[in-house]
Amino acid sequence: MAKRAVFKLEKITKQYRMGEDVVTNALCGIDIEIENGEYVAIIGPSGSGKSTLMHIMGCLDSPTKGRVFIEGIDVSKMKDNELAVVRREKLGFVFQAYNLVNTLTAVENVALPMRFAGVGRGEAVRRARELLKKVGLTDRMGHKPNQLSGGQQQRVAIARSLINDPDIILADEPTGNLDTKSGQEIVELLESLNRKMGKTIVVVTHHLGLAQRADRRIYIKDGKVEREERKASRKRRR
Amino acid sequence: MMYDMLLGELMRHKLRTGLTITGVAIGILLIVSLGSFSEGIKIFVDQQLAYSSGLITVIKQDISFEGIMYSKVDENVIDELADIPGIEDISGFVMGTTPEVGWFGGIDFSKVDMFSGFSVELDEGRTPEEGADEVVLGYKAAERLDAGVGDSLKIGGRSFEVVGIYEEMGTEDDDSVITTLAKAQDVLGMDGEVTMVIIKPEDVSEARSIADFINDEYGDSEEIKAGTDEDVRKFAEQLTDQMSAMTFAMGSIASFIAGIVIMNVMFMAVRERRREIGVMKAVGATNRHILIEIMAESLAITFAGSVAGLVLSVVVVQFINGFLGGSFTAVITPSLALESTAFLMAIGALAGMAPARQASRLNPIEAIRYE
Repeated sequence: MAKRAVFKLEKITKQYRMGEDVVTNALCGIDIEIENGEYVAIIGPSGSGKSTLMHIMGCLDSPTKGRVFIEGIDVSKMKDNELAVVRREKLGFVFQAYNLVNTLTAVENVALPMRFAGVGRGEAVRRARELLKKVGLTDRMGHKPNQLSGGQQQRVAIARSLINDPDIILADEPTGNLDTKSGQEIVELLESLNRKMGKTIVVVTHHLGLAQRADRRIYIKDGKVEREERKASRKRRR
Repeated sequence: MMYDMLLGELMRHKLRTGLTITGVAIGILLIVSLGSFSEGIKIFVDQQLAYSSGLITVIKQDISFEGIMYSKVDENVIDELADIPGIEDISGFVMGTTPEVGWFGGIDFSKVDMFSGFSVELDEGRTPEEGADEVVLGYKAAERLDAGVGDSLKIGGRSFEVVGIYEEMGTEDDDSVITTLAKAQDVLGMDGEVTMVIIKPEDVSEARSIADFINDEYGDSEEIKAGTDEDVRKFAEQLTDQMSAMTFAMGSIASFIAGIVIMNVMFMAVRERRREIGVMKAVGATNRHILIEIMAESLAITFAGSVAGLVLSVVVVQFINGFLGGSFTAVITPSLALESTAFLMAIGALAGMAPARQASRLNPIEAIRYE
């Protein structure tokens, strides 16, 4: 598969205005390029701007300055509803707090983004079942989030991120709320999405084990890219 | 819109949903039951007006149409008025109530044909003869008094023989006991007086000018007033319009309260579900998806409330009609049911609008962070 940039961030600046005169610079001119099939970890201390960066990459927030290209399309000036379509079709999200809809069953939660894409319930549920099988939740499909463990909820969230078959999965501290064992399982699941399904994975994490598995680690500090490391031992597959 | 999600949300807070639906149901109950009275009165008035179609009614001057049974007009007036040019026929009427049989009236049976808008047929028997203690019954009165042809009824302390039963007329006369003019005057203590005088003009288009002539020439001297069926209709319309206005006012207040309740509940629901709405937006819901979802919830609650309210109204109106028992019945017409539901649905849509807009405009990041 030919290499192409799925993410291209050009001089991204994000400022927050706190009150009349106080301006906080969350991101100060970030340039990042991520190719398809890469597994990238974004690492940084609390307040470094890594979550803001993730939100901008995930089209949940717009940069104050700079441009964001996702698969070659400039999304930095898109309107709310256009961004919603990009989020639905090009990206999959995995959050630290799982963020499932409590009134819906596992299968309904997974089907949700597909339903928003206008696919009928039957088709969306059929695809959701397939994905829940893949993440090892065959016997938990009809359970609601409060009937599932943290690890199981995160698997549901991962299945949900895959439902519209996006090329890119963005994961924000996906193991942050989990015990070591469940965390490890999620790390392996994300890695298999990259290795077996060729998904581009971008993960924001404190979890060293998770970061170590990435092809590339981008260290963020004070809203800037401090340094980058590439994993030497792993042979790039594609 | 996703029906499964809608149902899930409504079932999440069963008590709250139930109470809101009850609030809406009470609103619609108020509108429909009050409206059913207006409708009932309209139908009743139309039936009554069928009698006097094209006729002129003469009653005592200081009596209004709703107090018509208290009217007393000197019988001699009939002969005086009969000489007015353009009059085809004229007849007196007596009506009142007696403790034994209720509605009791006297008419000139030879002049029943005057009522062109209305036909009266005997189901069995014949009409009373002049001078005889005989009565004819409306079908409801026959049922109520459990009397048939050949039976005798005590009226005003005297014994009257039932000689005939009328077919259903669809008016309050169905519940009346009727005899000759003279006998009714006798029983009701109205010697030389009638309740009203009915005049049939030769030409219906002259009814207005004849009524005006009577009022000008005889109004003050005989203490009478004449009105055409149009006057009665206008008066009745005024009455029903007032009733409709009251229904509308009370219904509006009830609907307004229902709307506030719905809006409050929907704002609460949006506030509780901020995080979930944020998640939905993060995974691809557009503002429109969220707007429709919240609006649908508001409309679903309103619709459920409306249906419950309509069912409740049918029960309550039947119960009230059972009490009224007589010729007047409150009626829930299909248009009343449809209009009330549509009105409430509009209120539900308005009430859902602000919370839905608020929800649709939530910033997904802020909403996801919200706990």
